[in-house]
Amino acid sequence: MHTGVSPIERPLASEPPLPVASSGERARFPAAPARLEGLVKRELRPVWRLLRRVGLSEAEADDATQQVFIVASRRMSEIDPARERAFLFSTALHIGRRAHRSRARRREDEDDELVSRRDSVPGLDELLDQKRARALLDELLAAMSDDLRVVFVLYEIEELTMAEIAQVLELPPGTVASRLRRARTDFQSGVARLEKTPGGPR
Amino acid sequence: MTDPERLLDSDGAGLSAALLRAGREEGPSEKLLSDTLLAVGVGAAVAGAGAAASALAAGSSGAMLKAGGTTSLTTLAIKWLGIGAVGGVVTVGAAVGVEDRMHAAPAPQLAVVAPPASVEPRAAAPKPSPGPALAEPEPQVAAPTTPPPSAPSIKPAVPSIAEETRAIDQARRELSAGNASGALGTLDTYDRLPGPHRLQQEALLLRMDALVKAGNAGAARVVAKSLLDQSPSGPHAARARQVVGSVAQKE
Repeated sequence: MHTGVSPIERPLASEPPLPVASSGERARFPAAPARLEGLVKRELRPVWRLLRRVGLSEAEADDATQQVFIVASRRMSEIDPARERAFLFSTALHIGRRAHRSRARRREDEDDELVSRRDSVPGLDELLDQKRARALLDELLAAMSDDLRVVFVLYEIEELTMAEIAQVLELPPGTVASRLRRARTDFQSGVARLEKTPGGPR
Repeated sequence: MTDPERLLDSDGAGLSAALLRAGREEGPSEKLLSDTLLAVGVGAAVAGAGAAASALAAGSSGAMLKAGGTTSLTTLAIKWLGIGAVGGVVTVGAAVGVEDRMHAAPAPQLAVVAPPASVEPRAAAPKPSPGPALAEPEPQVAAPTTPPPSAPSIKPAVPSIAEETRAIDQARRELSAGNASGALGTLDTYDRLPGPHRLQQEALLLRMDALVKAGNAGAARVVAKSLLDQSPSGPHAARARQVVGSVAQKE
Protein backbone atom coordinates (compact mmCIF):
# COMPACT_ATOMS: atom_id res chain seq x y z
CA MET A 1 0.00 0.00 0.00
CA HIS A 2 2.86 2.27 0.73
CA THR A 3 3.67 4.05 -2.47
CA GLY A 4 7.27 4.84 -1.66
CA VAL A 5 6.82 8.48 -2.45
CA SER A 6 4.84 10.52 -0.01
CA PRO A 7 1.92 12.26 -1.65
CA ILE A 8 2.95 15.48 -0.02
CA GLU A 9 5.95 15.55 -2.31
CA ARG A 10 3.62 15.84 -5.23
CA PRO A 11 2.88 19.47 -5.93
CA LEU A 12 -0.59 20.74 -5.39
CA ALA A 13 -2.41 21.94 -8.42
CA SER A 14 -2.61 25.31 -6.79
CA GLU A 15 -0.94 26.79 -3.75
CA PRO A 16 -3.55 28.64 -1.75
CA PRO A 17 -2.61 32.11 -0.61
CA LEU A 18 -2.31 32.72 3.09
CA PRO A 19 -5.44 34.09 4.66
CA VAL A 20 -4.18 37.47 5.75
CA ALA A 21 -5.29 40.98 5.24
CA SER A 22 -4.67 42.24 1.75
CA SER A 23 -1.68 44.44 1.11
CA GLY A 24 -3.73 47.54 1.47
CA GLU A 25 -5.07 46.45 4.83
CA ARG A 26 -1.86 45.55 6.61
CA ALA A 27 -1.28 46.19 10.26
CA ARG A 28 -4.91 46.48 11.15
CA PHE A 29 -5.13 43.74 13.76
CA PRO A 30 -3.64 43.71 17.25
CA ALA A 31 -0.20 42.16 17.54
CA ALA A 32 -0.01 42.13 21.31
CA PRO A 33 2.32 39.54 22.88
CA ALA A 34 -0.60 38.16 24.86
CA ARG A 35 -2.44 37.38 21.65
CA LEU A 36 0.60 35.63 20.23
CA GLU A 37 1.17 33.70 23.42
CA GLY A 38 -2.43 32.55 23.47
CA LEU A 39 -2.20 31.51 19.87
CA VAL A 40 0.88 29.38 20.50
CA LYS A 41 -0.60 27.72 23.56
CA ARG A 42 -3.91 27.05 21.87
CA GLU A 43 -2.80 25.96 18.43
CA LEU A 44 0.64 24.43 18.83
CA ARG A 45 -0.65 20.93 19.30
CA PRO A 46 -3.05 20.93 16.31
CA VAL A 47 -0.41 22.48 14.07
CA TRP A 48 2.19 19.91 15.10
CA ARG A 49 -0.31 17.09 14.66
CA LEU A 50 -1.24 18.28 11.19
CA LEU A 51 2.42 18.35 10.21
CA ARG A 52 2.84 14.82 11.50
CA ARG A 53 -0.17 13.58 9.58
CA VAL A 54 1.03 15.06 6.34
CA GLY A 55 4.17 12.99 6.67
CA LEU A 56 6.80 14.79 8.72
CA SER A 57 8.84 12.97 11.33
CA GLU A 58 8.59 14.14 14.92
CA ALA A 59 11.83 16.12 14.69
CA GLU A 60 10.76 17.67 11.38
CA ALA A 61 7.37 18.52 12.81
CA ASP A 62 9.05 20.20 15.80
CA ASP A 63 11.13 22.41 13.54
CA ALA A 64 8.28 23.12 11.16
CA THR A 65 5.93 24.00 14.01
CA GLN A 66 8.37 26.58 15.29
CA GLN A 67 8.69 27.99 11.80
CA VAL A 68 4.91 28.28 11.52
CA PHE A 69 4.69 30.33 14.69
CA ILE A 70 7.70 32.44 13.78
CA VAL A 71 5.94 33.34 10.54
CA ALA A 72 2.79 34.07 12.53
CA SER A 73 4.70 36.24 14.99
CA ARG A 74 5.96 38.39 12.17
CA ARG A 75 2.54 38.77 10.65
CA MET A 76 0.26 39.03 13.64
CA SER A 77 -0.94 42.45 12.65
CA GLU A 78 -2.09 41.06 9.32
CA ILE A 79 -3.90 38.03 10.69
CA ASP A 80 -7.59 38.40 11.25
CA PRO A 81 -8.31 37.01 14.72
CA ALA A 82 -11.24 35.14 13.24
CA ARG A 83 -8.93 33.40 10.79
CA GLU A 84 -5.97 32.57 12.95
CA ARG A 85 -6.35 28.85 12.62
CA ALA A 86 -6.80 29.14 8.88
CA PHE A 87 -3.57 31.10 8.69
CA LEU A 88 -1.65 28.63 10.83
CA PHE A 89 -2.87 25.53 9.04
CA SER A 90 -2.29 27.05 5.65
CA THR A 91 1.23 28.08 6.66
CA ALA A 92 1.86 24.65 8.14
CA LEU A 93 0.89 22.97 4.89
CA HIS A 94 3.28 25.17 2.95
CA ILE A 95 6.11 24.53 5.38
CA GLY A 96 5.34 20.84 5.44
CA ARG A 97 5.73 20.63 1.69
CA ARG A 98 8.97 22.53 1.89
CA ALA A 99 10.28 20.19 4.55
CA HIS A 100 9.54 17.24 2.32
CA ARG A 101 11.39 18.79 -0.55
CA SER A 102 14.37 19.54 1.68
CA ARG A 103 14.38 15.97 2.87
CA ALA A 104 14.33 14.70 -0.69
CA ARG A 105 17.18 16.97 -1.64
CA ARG A 106 19.28 15.81 1.24
CA ARG A 107 18.45 12.21 0.41
CA GLU A 108 18.11 11.48 4.04
CA ASP A 109 16.99 8.12 5.12
CA GLU A 110 13.35 7.92 5.93
CA ASP A 111 12.63 8.42 9.57
CA ASP A 112 13.17 5.22 11.46
CA GLU A 113 9.96 5.62 13.31
CA LEU A 114 7.90 5.76 10.18
CA VAL A 115 9.60 2.92 8.38
CA SER A 116 8.32 0.50 10.93
CA ARG A 117 6.02 -0.82 8.26
CA ARG A 118 4.54 -4.11 9.09
CA ASP A 119 5.70 -7.40 7.70
CA SER A 120 2.38 -8.84 8.66
CA VAL A 121 -0.84 -7.18 9.61
CA PRO A 122 -0.97 -6.61 13.36
CA GLY A 123 -3.66 -8.00 15.57
CA LEU A 124 -5.93 -5.97 17.78
CA ASP A 125 -3.57 -6.29 20.68
CA GLU A 126 -0.87 -4.60 18.70
CA LEU A 127 -3.23 -1.87 17.69
CA LEU A 128 -3.41 -0.91 21.32
CA ASP A 129 0.05 0.32 20.75
CA GLN A 130 -0.69 3.84 19.65
CA LYS A 131 2.55 4.19 17.81
CA ARG A 132 1.76 1.20 15.70
CA ALA A 133 -1.72 2.49 15.05
CA ARG A 134 -0.32 5.81 13.93
CA ALA A 135 2.05 4.05 11.57
CA LEU A 136 -0.93 2.29 10.01
CA LEU A 137 -2.86 5.52 9.85
CA ASP A 138 0.03 7.25 8.16
CA GLU A 139 0.28 4.40 5.71
CA LEU A 140 -3.36 4.78 4.73
CA LEU A 141 -2.97 8.53 4.48
CA ALA A 142 0.15 8.18 2.37
CA ALA A 143 -1.83 6.24 -0.19
CA MET A 144 -4.18 9.16 -0.74
CA SER A 145 -3.50 12.02 -3.06
CA ASP A 146 -2.32 15.15 -1.29
CA ASP A 147 -5.51 17.02 -2.08
CA LEU A 148 -7.67 14.35 -0.51
CA ARG A 149 -5.42 13.68 2.42
CA VAL A 150 -5.28 17.27 3.60
CA VAL A 151 -9.05 17.56 3.57
CA PHE A 152 -9.42 14.22 5.33
CA VAL A 153 -6.94 15.08 8.08
CA LEU A 154 -8.42 18.50 8.68
CA TYR A 155 -11.94 17.08 8.95
CA GLU A 156 -11.53 13.71 10.61
CA ILE A 157 -8.56 14.37 12.89
CA GLU A 158 -8.42 18.10 13.43
CA GLU A 159 -12.21 18.35 13.46
CA LEU A 160 -12.48 21.46 11.39
CA THR A 161 -15.83 22.08 9.81
CA MET A 162 -16.07 21.90 6.06
CA ALA A 163 -16.56 25.65 5.99
CA GLU A 164 -13.33 26.11 7.91
CA ILE A 165 -11.50 23.78 5.57
CA ALA A 166 -12.78 25.75 2.62
CA GLN A 167 -11.30 28.82 4.28
CA VAL A 168 -7.93 27.19 4.97
CA LEU A 169 -7.55 25.81 1.48
CA GLU A 170 -9.30 28.65 -0.31
CA LEU A 171 -11.58 26.18 -2.03
CA PRO A 172 -15.28 26.27 -2.84
CA PRO A 173 -17.33 24.37 -0.26
CA GLY A 174 -18.52 21.93 -2.90
CA THR A 175 -14.94 20.99 -3.73
CA VAL A 176 -14.21 20.35 -0.08
CA ALA A 177 -17.27 18.13 0.24
CA SER A 178 -16.33 16.21 -2.89
CA ARG A 179 -12.75 15.68 -1.74
CA LEU A 180 -13.89 14.56 1.68
CA ARG A 181 -16.24 11.99 0.16
CA ARG A 182 -13.49 10.60 -2.03
CA ALA A 183 -10.98 10.62 0.81
CA ARG A 184 -13.35 8.73 3.07
CA THR A 185 -13.93 6.16 0.38
CA ASP A 186 -10.17 5.69 -0.01
CA PHE A 187 -9.63 5.49 3.72
CA GLN A 188 -12.40 3.02 4.36
CA SER A 189 -11.28 0.86 1.46
CA GLY A 190 -7.83 0.77 3.02
CA VAL A 191 -9.26 -0.14 6.39
CA ALA A 192 -11.35 -2.87 4.82
CA ARG A 193 -8.25 -4.33 3.19
CA LEU A 194 -6.51 -4.35 6.55
CA GLU A 195 -9.45 -6.07 8.18
CA LYS A 196 -9.61 -8.74 5.50
CA THR A 197 -5.93 -9.53 5.63
CA PRO A 198 -5.28 -12.86 7.35
CA GLY A 199 -4.09 -12.22 10.86
CA GLY A 200 -5.34 -8.69 10.69
CA PRO A 201 -7.79 -6.99 12.97
CA ARG A 202 -11.35 -8.15 12.74
CA MET B 1 -23.22 23.03 4.00
CA THR B 2 -24.13 20.23 6.39
CA ASP B 3 -21.14 18.41 7.79
CA PRO B 4 -21.36 14.64 7.79
CA GLU B 5 -20.83 12.72 10.99
CA ARG B 6 -17.16 12.13 11.61
CA LEU B 7 -15.89 8.60 11.23
CA LEU B 8 -14.62 8.58 14.77
CA ASP B 9 -18.11 9.33 16.03
CA SER B 10 -19.92 6.96 13.74
CA ASP B 11 -17.57 4.01 14.15
CA GLY B 12 -16.33 4.43 17.67
CA ALA B 13 -15.26 0.82 18.22
CA GLY B 14 -14.00 -0.09 14.78
CA LEU B 15 -10.57 -0.08 13.24
CA SER B 16 -11.19 3.22 11.47
CA ALA B 17 -11.89 4.91 14.75
CA ALA B 18 -8.92 3.25 16.44
CA LEU B 19 -6.58 4.58 13.81
CA LEU B 20 -8.09 8.05 13.78
CA ARG B 21 -8.07 8.19 17.56
CA ALA B 22 -4.40 7.33 17.57
CA GLY B 23 -3.73 10.19 15.21
CA ARG B 24 -5.85 12.59 17.20
CA GLU B 25 -4.17 11.74 20.48
CA GLU B 26 -0.65 12.27 19.32
CA GLY B 27 0.99 15.42 20.60
CA PRO B 28 4.33 17.16 20.75
CA SER B 29 6.65 17.21 23.71
CA GLU B 30 6.11 19.72 26.50
CA LYS B 31 9.43 21.23 25.60
CA LEU B 32 8.22 22.26 22.18
CA LEU B 33 5.71 24.63 23.72
CA SER B 34 8.29 26.40 25.85
CA ASP B 35 10.79 26.48 23.00
CA THR B 36 8.22 27.92 20.63
CA LEU B 37 7.12 30.56 23.10
CA LEU B 38 10.73 31.58 23.46
CA ALA B 39 11.25 31.50 19.72
CA VAL B 40 8.46 33.97 19.10
CA GLY B 41 9.66 36.22 21.87
CA VAL B 42 6.99 35.72 24.50
CA GLY B 43 8.64 32.89 26.40
CA ALA B 44 10.68 35.10 28.68
CA ALA B 45 7.56 36.76 29.98
CA VAL B 46 6.05 33.37 30.57
CA ALA B 47 9.09 32.23 32.48
CA GLY B 48 9.15 35.40 34.53
CA ALA B 49 5.53 35.03 35.47
CA GLY B 50 6.13 31.50 36.49
CA ALA B 51 3.67 30.12 34.02
CA ALA B 52 4.47 26.96 32.11
CA ALA B 53 7.12 26.46 34.71
CA SER B 54 7.40 22.76 34.34
CA ALA B 55 7.91 22.91 30.62
CA LEU B 56 10.54 25.55 30.95
CA ALA B 57 12.27 23.72 33.74
CA ALA B 58 12.43 20.62 31.61
CA GLY B 59 13.69 22.43 28.57
CA SER B 60 15.43 25.68 29.02
CA SER B 61 17.06 25.48 32.39
CA GLY B 62 19.06 22.44 31.42
CA ALA B 63 20.60 24.29 28.55
CA MET B 64 21.26 27.28 30.76
CA LEU B 65 23.07 25.14 33.26
CA LYS B 66 25.19 23.68 30.53
CA ALA B 67 26.06 27.17 29.43
CA GLY B 68 27.23 28.12 32.85
CA GLY B 69 24.07 29.66 34.10
CA THR B 70 25.43 33.19 34.04
CA THR B 71 22.80 34.52 31.73
CA SER B 72 19.65 33.22 30.26
CA LEU B 73 21.49 31.78 27.35
CA THR B 74 18.63 29.79 26.00
CA THR B 75 16.37 32.75 26.30
CA LEU B 76 18.85 34.89 24.47
CA ALA B 77 19.52 32.33 21.81
CA ILE B 78 16.00 31.30 21.14
CA LYS B 79 14.66 34.78 21.50
CA TRP B 80 17.08 35.78 18.81
CA LEU B 81 15.30 33.35 16.61
CA GLY B 82 12.04 35.14 17.26
CA ILE B 83 12.54 37.48 14.42
CA GLY B 84 9.82 39.94 15.08
CA ALA B 85 10.50 40.18 18.78
CA VAL B 86 13.90 41.76 18.42
CA GLY B 87 13.01 44.17 15.74
CA GLY B 88 13.13 41.99 12.73
CA VAL B 89 16.84 42.19 12.18
CA VAL B 90 17.48 38.52 11.71
CA THR B 91 15.97 36.26 9.17
CA VAL B 92 15.13 32.68 9.78
CA GLY B 93 15.76 31.38 6.36
CA ALA B 94 13.37 28.54 6.31
CA ALA B 95 10.41 30.59 7.26
CA VAL B 96 11.39 33.37 4.96
CA GLY B 97 12.00 30.92 2.19
CA VAL B 98 8.52 29.60 2.50
CA GLU B 99 7.07 33.03 2.56
CA ASP B 100 9.23 34.16 -0.28
CA ARG B 101 8.11 31.27 -2.36
CA MET B 102 4.54 32.11 -1.63
CA HIS B 103 5.04 35.69 -2.56
CA ALA B 104 7.40 35.09 -5.45
CA ALA B 105 10.12 37.25 -4.03
CA PRO B 106 13.78 36.31 -3.72
CA ALA B 107 15.20 35.41 -0.34
CA PRO B 108 17.56 38.00 1.02
CA GLN B 109 21.12 37.07 0.26
CA LEU B 110 23.54 38.95 2.38
CA ALA B 111 27.08 38.67 1.21
CA VAL B 112 29.97 38.55 3.60
CA VAL B 113 31.89 41.66 2.90
CA ALA B 114 35.54 42.08 3.59
CA PRO B 115 35.81 45.13 5.80
CA PRO B 116 37.51 48.07 4.18
CA ALA B 117 39.73 50.24 6.31
CA SER B 118 37.14 52.88 6.72
CA VAL B 119 33.85 53.36 5.02
CA GLU B 120 32.12 55.66 7.40
CA PRO B 121 29.77 57.15 6.56
CA ARG B 122 28.82 54.55 4.08
CA ALA B 123 26.47 54.47 1.20
CA ALA B 124 23.45 52.29 1.63
CA ALA B 125 24.44 48.80 0.60
CA PRO B 126 22.49 47.30 -2.24
CA LYS B 127 19.75 45.29 -0.68
CA PRO B 128 17.44 42.85 -2.37
CA SER B 129 13.79 43.69 -2.24
CA PRO B 130 12.04 41.77 0.47
CA GLY B 131 8.79 40.00 -0.27
CA PRO B 132 5.95 42.43 -0.53
CA ALA B 133 4.09 41.06 2.45
CA LEU B 134 7.16 40.28 4.45
CA ALA B 135 9.14 43.39 4.56
CA GLU B 136 10.60 43.80 7.99
CA PRO B 137 10.57 47.43 8.94
CA GLU B 138 14.14 48.53 8.61
CA PRO B 139 15.45 52.02 8.59
CA GLN B 140 15.94 53.28 5.10
CA VAL B 141 19.18 55.17 4.94
CA ALA B 142 19.91 57.15 1.89
CA ALA B 143 23.38 57.40 0.49
CA PRO B 144 25.21 60.15 2.30
CA THR B 145 25.17 63.49 0.66
CA THR B 146 26.89 66.62 1.69
CA PRO B 147 24.77 68.08 4.43
CA PRO B 148 23.65 71.66 4.16
CA PRO B 149 25.81 73.98 6.22
CA SER B 150 23.04 74.59 8.70
CA ALA B 151 22.26 70.92 9.22
CA PRO B 152 23.21 69.64 12.66
CA SER B 153 25.81 66.95 12.84
CA ILE B 154 23.91 63.76 13.49
CA LYS B 155 25.60 60.42 13.77
CA PRO B 156 24.20 58.06 11.19
CA ALA B 157 21.70 55.63 12.64
CA VAL B 158 23.17 52.79 10.64
CA PRO B 159 26.45 51.48 11.98
CA SER B 160 29.46 51.39 9.75
CA ILE B 161 30.86 48.14 8.56
CA ALA B 162 33.78 48.80 10.86
CA GLU B 163 31.38 48.74 13.80
CA GLU B 164 29.83 45.54 12.52
CA THR B 165 33.28 44.05 12.13
CA ARG B 166 34.22 44.98 15.68
CA ALA B 167 31.14 43.23 17.04
CA ILE B 168 31.79 40.12 15.02
CA ASP B 169 35.46 40.07 16.02
CA GLN B 170 34.53 40.43 19.66
CA ALA B 171 32.10 37.53 19.43
CA ARG B 172 34.77 35.45 17.70
CA ARG B 173 37.30 36.22 20.41
CA GLU B 174 34.83 35.32 23.14
CA LEU B 175 33.98 32.08 21.44
CA SER B 176 37.64 31.22 20.97
CA ALA B 177 38.16 31.85 24.67
CA GLY B 178 35.40 29.39 25.46
CA ASN B 179 32.92 32.05 26.50
CA ALA B 180 29.93 30.88 24.47
CA SER B 181 27.49 32.83 26.60
CA GLY B 182 29.43 36.04 26.10
CA ALA B 183 29.64 35.42 22.37
CA LEU B 184 25.90 34.92 22.16
CA GLY B 185 25.33 38.13 24.08
CA THR B 186 27.60 40.02 21.71
CA LEU B 187 25.80 38.52 18.74
CA ASP B 188 22.48 39.59 20.24
CA THR B 189 23.88 43.09 20.43
CA TYR B 190 24.98 42.83 16.83
CA ASP B 191 21.53 41.69 15.77
CA ARG B 192 19.97 44.66 17.46
CA LEU B 193 22.07 47.07 15.46
CA PRO B 194 20.02 48.82 12.84
CA GLY B 195 20.90 48.38 9.22
CA PRO B 196 21.38 45.67 6.69
CA HIS B 197 23.80 43.49 8.68
CA ARG B 198 26.39 42.93 6.00
CA LEU B 199 28.15 40.37 8.14
CA GLN B 200 25.03 38.46 8.95
CA GLN B 201 26.30 35.14 7.66
CA GLU B 202 29.41 35.47 9.78
CA ALA B 203 27.13 36.19 12.71
CA LEU B 204 25.04 33.13 11.95
CA LEU B 205 28.11 30.94 11.75
CA LEU B 206 29.39 32.22 15.09
CA ARG B 207 26.00 31.85 16.70
CA MET B 208 25.72 28.29 15.45
CA ASP B 209 29.13 27.41 16.87
CA ALA B 210 28.40 29.20 20.13
CA LEU B 211 25.18 27.27 20.55
CA VAL B 212 26.97 24.00 19.86
CA LYS B 213 29.57 24.92 22.46
CA ALA B 214 26.83 25.86 24.91
CA GLY B 215 25.25 22.45 24.45
CA ASN B 216 22.10 23.76 22.82
CA ALA B 217 22.14 21.44 19.84
CA GLY B 218 18.52 22.00 18.85
CA ALA B 219 18.91 25.75 18.50
CA ALA B 220 22.25 25.25 16.73
CA ARG B 221 20.51 23.06 14.19
CA VAL B 222 17.83 25.66 13.53
CA VAL B 223 20.52 28.29 12.97
CA ALA B 224 22.46 25.91 10.71
CA LYS B 225 19.37 25.29 8.63
CA SER B 226 18.78 28.99 8.41
CA LEU B 227 22.32 29.48 7.18
CA LEU B 228 21.87 26.76 4.59
CA ASP B 229 18.58 28.16 3.43
CA GLN B 230 20.09 31.58 2.98
CA SER B 231 23.18 30.39 1.23
CA PRO B 232 23.23 26.69 0.38
CA SER B 233 26.51 26.94 -1.48
CA GLY B 234 28.10 29.67 0.58
CA PRO B 235 31.42 29.52 2.35
CA HIS B 236 29.83 28.32 5.60
CA ALA B 237 27.51 25.73 4.08
CA ALA B 238 29.83 22.81 4.75
CA ARG B 239 30.13 23.69 8.42
CA ALA B 240 26.37 24.16 8.69
CA ARG B 241 25.75 20.77 7.12
CA GLN B 242 28.19 19.26 9.54
CA VAL B 243 26.24 20.70 12.45
CA VAL B 244 22.90 19.59 11.05
CA GLY B 245 24.30 16.10 10.52
CA SER B 246 25.91 15.77 13.92
CA VAL B 247 22.81 16.97 15.72
CA ALA B 248 20.67 14.55 13.75
CA GLN B 249 22.99 11.70 14.72
CA LYS B 250 22.80 12.60 18.39
CA GLU B 251 19.03 12.66 18.18
